[in-house]
Amino acid sequence: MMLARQPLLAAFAACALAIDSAQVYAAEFAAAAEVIEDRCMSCHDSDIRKGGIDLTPLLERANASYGKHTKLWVRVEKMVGRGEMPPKNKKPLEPNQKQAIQNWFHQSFVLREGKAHIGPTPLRQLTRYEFENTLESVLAISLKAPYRDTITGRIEVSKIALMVPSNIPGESGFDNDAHRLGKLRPPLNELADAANYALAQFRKNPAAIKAVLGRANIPNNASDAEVKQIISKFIVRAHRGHDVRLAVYTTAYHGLYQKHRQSSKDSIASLLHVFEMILVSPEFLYRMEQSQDRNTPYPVTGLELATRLAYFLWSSPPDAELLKLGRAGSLLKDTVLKAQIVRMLNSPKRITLSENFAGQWLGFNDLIANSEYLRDERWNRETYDEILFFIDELIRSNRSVLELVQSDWLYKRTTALKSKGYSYTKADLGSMNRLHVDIFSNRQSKSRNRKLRYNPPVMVNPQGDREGGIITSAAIMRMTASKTRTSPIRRGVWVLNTLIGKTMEAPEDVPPLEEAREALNIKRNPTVSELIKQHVSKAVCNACHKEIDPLGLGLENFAQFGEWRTQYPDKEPVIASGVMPNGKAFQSPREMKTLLLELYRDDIAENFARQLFAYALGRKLEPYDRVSLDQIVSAAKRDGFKTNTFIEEIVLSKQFRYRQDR
Amino acid sequence: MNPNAYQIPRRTFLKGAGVSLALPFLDIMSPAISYAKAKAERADPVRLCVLYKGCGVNPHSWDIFAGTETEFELSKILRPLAPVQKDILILGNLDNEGVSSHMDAPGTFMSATRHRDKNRYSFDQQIADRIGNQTPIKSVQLTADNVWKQHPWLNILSHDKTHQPMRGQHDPQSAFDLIFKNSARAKRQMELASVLDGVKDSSSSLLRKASSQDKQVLQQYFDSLRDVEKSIERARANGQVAATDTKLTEIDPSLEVGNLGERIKAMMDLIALAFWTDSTRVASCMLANTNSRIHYNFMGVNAEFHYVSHHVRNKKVLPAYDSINMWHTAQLRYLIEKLKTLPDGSSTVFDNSLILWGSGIKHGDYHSLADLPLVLAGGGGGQVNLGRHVRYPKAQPYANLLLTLMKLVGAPAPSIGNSTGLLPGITDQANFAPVNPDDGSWKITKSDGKTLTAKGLLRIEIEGEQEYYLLRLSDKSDLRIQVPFMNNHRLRFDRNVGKVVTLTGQYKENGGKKVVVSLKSARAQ
Repeated sequence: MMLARQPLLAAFAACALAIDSAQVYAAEFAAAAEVIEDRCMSCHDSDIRKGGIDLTPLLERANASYGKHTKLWVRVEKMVGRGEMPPKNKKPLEPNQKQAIQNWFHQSFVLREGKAHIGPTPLRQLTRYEFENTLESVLAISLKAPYRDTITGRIEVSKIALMVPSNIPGESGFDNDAHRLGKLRPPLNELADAANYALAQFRKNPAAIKAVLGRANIPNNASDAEVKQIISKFIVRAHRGHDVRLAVYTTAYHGLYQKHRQSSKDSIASLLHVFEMILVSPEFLYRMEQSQDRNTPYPVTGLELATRLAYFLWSSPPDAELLKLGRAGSLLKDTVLKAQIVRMLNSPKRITLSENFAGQWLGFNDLIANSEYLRDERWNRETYDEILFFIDELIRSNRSVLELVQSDWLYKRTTALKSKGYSYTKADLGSMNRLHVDIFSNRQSKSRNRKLRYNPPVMVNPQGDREGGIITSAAIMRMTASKTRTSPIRRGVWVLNTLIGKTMEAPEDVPPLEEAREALNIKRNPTVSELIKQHVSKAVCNACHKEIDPLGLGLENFAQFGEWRTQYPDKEPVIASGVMPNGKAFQSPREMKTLLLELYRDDIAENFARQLFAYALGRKLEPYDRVSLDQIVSAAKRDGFKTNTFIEEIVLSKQFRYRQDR
Repeated sequence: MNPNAYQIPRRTFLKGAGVSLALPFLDIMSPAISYAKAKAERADPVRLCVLYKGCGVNPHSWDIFAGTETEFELSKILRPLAPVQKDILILGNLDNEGVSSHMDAPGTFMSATRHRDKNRYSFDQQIADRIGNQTPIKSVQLTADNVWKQHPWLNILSHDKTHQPMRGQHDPQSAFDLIFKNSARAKRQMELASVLDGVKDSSSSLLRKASSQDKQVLQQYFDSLRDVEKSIERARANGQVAATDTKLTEIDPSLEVGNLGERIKAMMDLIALAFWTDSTRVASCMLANTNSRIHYNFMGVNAEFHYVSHHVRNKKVLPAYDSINMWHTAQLRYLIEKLKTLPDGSSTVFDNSLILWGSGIKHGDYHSLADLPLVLAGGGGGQVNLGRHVRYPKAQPYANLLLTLMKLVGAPAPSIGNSTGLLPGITDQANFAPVNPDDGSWKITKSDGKTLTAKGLLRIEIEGEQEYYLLRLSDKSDLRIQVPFMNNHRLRFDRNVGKVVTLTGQYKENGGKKVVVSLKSARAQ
């Protein structure tokens, strides 16, 4: 009887809560609406619409929960929370007024019926990068363009990358965005051709066959039972350890095998034909999870968590150990999960975090992927590797994220170690050796021809204060400049957008430079700093440019390919000085970076957490992710902003370990 | 037709293609030719190609101010088209609607609809969805510019019927494989059909068990599966080009292209070949995207295209800006000339094609959507009246042009975007009154030693960084206008270029000639 009554009680409680909370929300909504009415509408009503913002719809109770006005609410809450609205020349909000807005926002957008939730979990689809990695893993073959130790004059792209179109990034900024992928038809023709190509490689590779099928060769005249066993084994591999309805799948694919056999004398061809089907099936291309069709979060299974974890940290399917722990369910325990994170970050496969996550976030994978940046093979590979290895070292040695801005070590291309004006000491060899053992062991050049030899960058401690961190790396300096000139604005915007995480929209009505020239009475061809000065002349420009300009000006000592300079090509001296928005002045890139950390430390950390979290979840963050995000950021802060604390906290979050269907 | 006639175009074709293309293309030609011959028996279909270049133009170098519909002089940017002047139709005064940002321009150009991501079903895809089932490949999308990962919209022209973006092929080799190899590999297609059949059998239950949200995503998968199946069926039904020729699968044309010129040339060749072999009837190519960072250093331009397109505040970039745009019109000429060498039934592929060349914005700096720079080429199966410059006396919706093209290609639609109907003057002579006729009233009507009022046709002259305006009067003399930038800017005086203007301003006498040095007002007729 007790058992039977429990659901009833629960239903009753939920019902009571709903009524209760509806009343509470009404009061909170009224309080928030009153503040908006009193303090915002004088500028943001339907008539004036200052800055194009009309807050009238927010006064309707019906518009105050998730819906088409969510974006507006998010913006209001952000501006009010940061104290950016009301503007400086108006009376600021009273603490209780600010609280009223934040309370309401929290109740209706962060919580659902008074409870934290994680929003609907989107179905994840393999990106091209993940598809290639997964084929490599399932077939135990290598498909990536080999890491050449010589210079051949071109940047090699893998065969799969040539066959399958790249993914378009979604709102999260990453190409694994499930909402973007979910709206597009997967390129099945190309994916099937790629799988077909991979299987042809597989067939030629005895070691791979042994690894995958557990036998040296595929028997030409295998019995039905044998074939069934091979197929079933392959299905489990391709389905990332899931054996749901394995017997049904096996029977179906075995039937297809027999059908193909009727027209083919080659039993291996028939088998590979069936493998190809499995490798383009939705069970392979999508990371299917069991749905309980619920609108509240529930934990995923061990195997599902193993897959989530493996694609987050490795962009690859789970390995044997993860599968074992997942199947046993022990992976669901915090201690086991944490130990696995440590193990996985010690594996060479962690390089995908640098390649795929950081490469997209910081944008440096364009150095390889975008021909507009191609200078010559050596330069592009070296500068790409400098930043790639830097990020990997952050993760491998669990360093602070803030070292992205400033560090006393870095990776430097060997061709630049003796540049004039620079000096380096090699970083401690112990760590170098460790490094070579895992990821970079096969990246050392064996070529005898010195001219053709490609040597990857080495870890050094730079002397002097020009370098450190990645902002001043050749890669970033190139990507934030045009081929022929630098633009302090573009660089400033990059630092502010990408690193600090402040999004800005390009101004709609830019007053012409001429106006500023006339106002400032400067000559026809103004210098860079004069040009920048013109923004100061207009309050509307200054609001953003007081933040953008110093960040870019502080980097003017770096020419478009990252080389140090003290004068421009026209012999005008470079003046890398400026004033940060907090009024503090700097004279050099190093001083600028120090102030940057002083001013934006927490923003940089939060932005890193946001980016990594969005990448891990495959979707842009929503207001309801805030509870978890705050938790991730504050834990990392307590821990000195160590990269792996961010990673661990993300994995431990409800968003990562739970599922919700609606 | 003399069967040997096919030999000549083949060689011309190869001469134009890169060296690396030459040998394999010889082999490819053989099945293609036999197919083209077989096809010649049938009615010659109309094909559509869109060539898009971002970043607008300098209007003063684009506009044709005078002349008649058939007797006119090409403007600076259009001059590379002089050898094919009889094969083009230049269109003026077609307005698109909406706010044109860098991000919106390509999509807006293709759908005449403003909102990004919404209602973006582009006109080429509307056509492809109607007529694409008659060819092995429904449509081909190419892009010569680079994809900027953070802003993919800049580089995407076509959107499918679910309003989702369709990526362009950047690599000519992959495009070649896609157009000619996949569809040509009869054996592989059989295999693929069987693979997809198998998947359908084994995975169909997946949909039933998925949550409603997952179901929507999986639906995309099964839609894609059906698309591929249909294209395979089509290929079979069409008695596939190279079902006869297994050699195609082994050919590797090694289309490794380093520079932009070679890349675009290869793409134009691919479009020509695809049209000739009737592999597809719909193609688009992004010559340069709307925020293009391409450096045209092969023509001595050492700055990004987008940078030089913002020329109002930086006049010294104008020569570079114009020469890039001239290079883009030259690419159109290349395609026109190529298509004219390819026989198609009793005419040429050019006669049966429609090529729309244009930019989503007019003014490179102001990003204006009015009076888009547009050139139409190709006979459209004898429907288009070429060799003309049609400037509509009253601005027409650009959407009407798209609607007209859809009809000409044989995929008529009731409307697109803000279209109001078909555009006159495409198939027939427009016979509009001549542009800006001189009625004898162009003169200085008042002058008191200090201030003058004058009426005339305004044009602009640029010398180095100096720019000044000339007002053409009925007595064939010019009144010089040289005013400070801010005076010009506040009045938006620049916008009157090419129009008959009545202006009032202060002047000085300079060597007996009047020079207007400050403007009070300017009003276009």
